[in-house]
Amino acid sequence: MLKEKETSTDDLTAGEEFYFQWHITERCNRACKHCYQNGIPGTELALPDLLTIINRMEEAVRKWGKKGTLSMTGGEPYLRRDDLHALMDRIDRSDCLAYYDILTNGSLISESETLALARHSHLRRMQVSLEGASARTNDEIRGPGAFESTISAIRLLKDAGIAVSVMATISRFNKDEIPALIDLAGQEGVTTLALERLIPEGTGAGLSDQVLSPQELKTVYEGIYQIAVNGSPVRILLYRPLFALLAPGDPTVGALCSAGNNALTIMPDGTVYPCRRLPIPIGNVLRDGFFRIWYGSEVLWQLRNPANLGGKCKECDLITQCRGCRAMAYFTTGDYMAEDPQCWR
Amino acid sequence: MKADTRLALSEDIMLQAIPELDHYYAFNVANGDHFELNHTAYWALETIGQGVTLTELREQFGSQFDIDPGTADEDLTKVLGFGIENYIIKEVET
Repeated sequence: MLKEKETSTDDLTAGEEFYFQWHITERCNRACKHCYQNGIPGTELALPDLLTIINRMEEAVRKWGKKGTLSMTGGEPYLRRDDLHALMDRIDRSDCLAYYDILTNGSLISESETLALARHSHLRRMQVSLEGASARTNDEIRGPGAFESTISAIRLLKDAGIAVSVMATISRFNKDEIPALIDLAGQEGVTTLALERLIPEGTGAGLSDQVLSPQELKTVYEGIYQIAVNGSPVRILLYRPLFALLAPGDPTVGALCSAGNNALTIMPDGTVYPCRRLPIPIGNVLRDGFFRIWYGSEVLWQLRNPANLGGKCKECDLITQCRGCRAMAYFTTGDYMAEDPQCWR
Repeated sequence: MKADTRLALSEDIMLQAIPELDHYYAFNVANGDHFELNHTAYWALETIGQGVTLTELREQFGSQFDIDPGTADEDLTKVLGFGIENYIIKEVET
């Protein structure tokens, strides 16, 4: 087994980083029940246009004095494997795009593919998703065979010395299995575990009855936090809105939503959203460029001003650490500046 | 600059404000240049964006801010110098 790479892919602080979540395709070889996509593939840009977008990312982060970081994903990004590797080759040569993660369902990861991945200098982590610690739970959401396929991908990637992150989407369906999932991630040598809330959007709108109540979320988050600070076998990423409520004095816990602050999402046709979970078009990077979008979008300016927040978010004494999830507000109330409906305060 | 010189914001300049936080900005959306402004400078640039002569700007500035004419002239000269130097504003042919 190879040693995990130690390259220039250390985490950056929020102040140093500008993050792009880049969906290069909407096509997918799975049909997960909780997906934030609607399952309808749209226009995809050809490789030359994708390379132009990288040029524009570099131009933007240089101007802003930041380091760019990316997640490249889909759909399933491996359905454009050759283009994906071409983009990785290009970013590997960048002096201002610090690192990228690939977000994949892992089903198309083979041993030969892990060797191809291992040669990319700016690849920080491969992220796969698990919804529970058992095939029964995971495959109910992600489809038959998904659990075995994902575990196989994790092991292949680890054997090639590539860091692996696991993401899980928390809902009523799997909330009780989160501690077991943390154990499993530790056993598999996973580097980080990201736990996101189910947002009732896209295909996932069909699971709106699985969205946790505020008290349920509080209980789940308290359990996660206790494991995280008491010798978790895997690093659990706690810099998400609402985690700050658990430990306001702990700088590793909670974070402002990055929408409008230091992140953008780019869709397969170049459309830009504030966040993938907040799919309000604010421009097209090929037509408008990042500067016009970043400086001119009224949606982004709304998000940046805490005075625009509604309900209890507006009056909260943790407003400098947590402004809730704007996507959860949007898909629950129709108003992205409304209070976070899952806040238990 | 002559008194009847008409001023305008340069192409690609966009102004933005979050008054509640006392944050004021000018952005060049073509090349990404960004400038943090104080409220006075923001007001002057916003007024220039409406298309005014130097004389009109001076008159409106004097009535908007409760300061003596000498100080107003000095402040305005600084803002105009900053704006021209950074290609935020331009003189328009009349």
